[in-house]
Amino acid sequence: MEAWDIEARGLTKKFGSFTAVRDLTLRVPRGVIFGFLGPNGSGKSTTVKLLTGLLTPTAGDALIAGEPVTVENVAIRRKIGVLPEDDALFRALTIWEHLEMSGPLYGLKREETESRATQLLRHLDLWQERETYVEQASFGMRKKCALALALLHNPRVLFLDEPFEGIDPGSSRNIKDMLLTLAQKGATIFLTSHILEVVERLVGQYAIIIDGEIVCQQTVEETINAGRTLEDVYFQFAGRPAMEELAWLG
Amino acid sequence: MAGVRLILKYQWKAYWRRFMRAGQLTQSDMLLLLLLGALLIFKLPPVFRRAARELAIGQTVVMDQLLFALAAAWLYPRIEIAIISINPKDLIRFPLTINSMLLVRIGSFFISPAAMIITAGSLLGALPLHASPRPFIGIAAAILFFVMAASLGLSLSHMMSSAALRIRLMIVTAIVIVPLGAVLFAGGREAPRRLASIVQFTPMRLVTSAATAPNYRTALLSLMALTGCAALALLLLRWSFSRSLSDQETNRPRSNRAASLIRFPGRLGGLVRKEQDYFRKLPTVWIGLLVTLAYSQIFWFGAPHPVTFQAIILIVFSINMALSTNSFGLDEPPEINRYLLFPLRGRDILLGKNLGFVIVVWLQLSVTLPFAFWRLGWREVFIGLIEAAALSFAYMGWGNMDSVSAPYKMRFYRDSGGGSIFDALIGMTLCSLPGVAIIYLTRFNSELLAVKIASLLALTALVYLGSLHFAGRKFERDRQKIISRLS
Repeated sequence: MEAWDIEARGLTKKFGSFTAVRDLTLRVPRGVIFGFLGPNGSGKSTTVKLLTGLLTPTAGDALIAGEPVTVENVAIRRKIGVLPEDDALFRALTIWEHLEMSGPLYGLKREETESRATQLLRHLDLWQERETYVEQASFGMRKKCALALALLHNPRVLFLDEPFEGIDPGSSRNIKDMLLTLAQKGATIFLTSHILEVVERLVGQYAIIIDGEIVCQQTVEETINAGRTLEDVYFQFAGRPAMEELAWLG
Repeated sequence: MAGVRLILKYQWKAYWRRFMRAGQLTQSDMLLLLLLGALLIFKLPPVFRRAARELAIGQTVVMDQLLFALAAAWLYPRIEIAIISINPKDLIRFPLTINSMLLVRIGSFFISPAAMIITAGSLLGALPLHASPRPFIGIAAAILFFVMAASLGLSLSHMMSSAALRIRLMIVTAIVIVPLGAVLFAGGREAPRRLASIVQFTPMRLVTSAATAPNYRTALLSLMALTGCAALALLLLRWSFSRSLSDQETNRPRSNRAASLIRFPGRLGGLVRKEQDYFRKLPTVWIGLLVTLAYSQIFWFGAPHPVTFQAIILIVFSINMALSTNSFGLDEPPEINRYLLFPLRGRDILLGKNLGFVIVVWLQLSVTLPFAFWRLGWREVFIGLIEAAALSFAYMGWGNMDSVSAPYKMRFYRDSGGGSIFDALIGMTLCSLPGVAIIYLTRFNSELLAVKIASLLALTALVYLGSLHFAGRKFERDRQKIISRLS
């Protein structure tokens, strides 16, 4: 039997009468980078929140390494690292204080926390800005800080919601290399992104979600073997918004 | 002007939408407001009549008191910005002049129901002046006085938004409040009389002296002085507003930060430090410190009655009440998400917040301890510490349940503005009970004192542990509701 690191069984989330995610079922094996694609408002971030316990599903189950994801299951949260949609940072703390605070919560000693934090911030080109308050940090700096927090405790499963959004090309390259190395070492990575070229080069498997439902799930290899690109598949399902003639512009 | 009107229209919509969504006016609040309203309707007319009778014969005591209460109410802008939806700083992107933005700012303030009530109350409060010897001059003076008070209130709010002005304001406040508080505390029962004599030297006295002046020349002089004060207040309003727009919060080097007051050991240390960081950005924390500083001054002149020491502990806890009863109030929704991502149970998060609260309040109290030890002796200090411990348990016990049941938004550098008045009154009464009980036991019922106090302490500790457990579970269960109320 294959070991699934991430598993969703009939996951559904309703907000009042609106269904954000409908009967979502997916399985991600260990050591795979999984791309989760879809247009804005299709349910990507809600799915990430359901899989990480930030939201409670209306129906269905989310499992990480075979264990159910619930708010009471603290052990699960030690296994996962999350870069959420909203970064989830404390605005009045500095970047360094975030890392300094988080390490001990995951059982890291102070020296170990400082050593890992230093390396991570250098890798993400954030070392010089470590004393910047989050509320004064740029969008990209906040993203990198949240990414460093997700990685600090060396999680088995990583959830990254739009990790390349607002990141400069140099750091973006570093992050991509780091993710590939992590996956080679056995970590499972679940990432959402709108940058299809990056996803195509990085992921092994992907799924496309439209209006809360998965409409396509396959490996990148299958796509290439069919003589298609990820962009072709994406537009086949997601389509393109109609172009308006903005004659008044310019 | 069209732009100002348009923004105010949307400000109005956004304010009320937020007000209704946050459920800030609960049914119990409505009941309490009705009761208060009824009390005001039945209580105020006799006060107005008395003020009018006094003014008619040239006396001003009641009218002075009325004006003092209204001036205090106009300081309300320090609170109000917590629930204003469009921040004045966000208006910079629009092609508006500073004066237009200031109009938006002033207009936005009057959107809130509390501001409407204060305005209506002020206009009603000016009514008794019609019975004074110079009614028109008196009413004109009252209006000028309210303009001045409102401008000062709004200016204060702007100054709190600017890092540089905030520090200066705090220094000035400390210089004024500490000696003033010391004089009042030392006065004991004489305090109200001393306060009344201080009021004689404030602009509100100009209103009553204009209304009761023996001749037109004196009345006009008072009116001119008030006009000057109001003009100065308006200039201050314009200046403070433009400063608040242009001042950016600057990055301070860490070595200058007073944040890490106490480094709490253990895995929750970082969370406790974060809470201290957040709490020290609330004016109430500094007000509590100023109160203890002011009280401590009276020890220089001799030993006060020990009950005043116990009373000051009660007062300091009540000043800091919002820190325990609304522990998530300073957290933005993404910050709540971060708590949920940490490998912590709800009770651990609340424990971190409680420890932050205890450290901050006990630091405020620590100012008086050496003085109390010096003048009152170790026994009174020990009883005071027991009282503080019992109050800590009570405030955190009630506060944890309140924090997860009815959280409301708070902002840095603003007074806590929101939450249920009903809950606050019940909370303050219940949480103060252990302190009141200890005062009663030590002063009037000292038989088996140690046993009684130990039992009381154990009971409050037990209540606290229970609340930590239940509130922790409730936080885990209702996290989305909490996020929604804080958004």
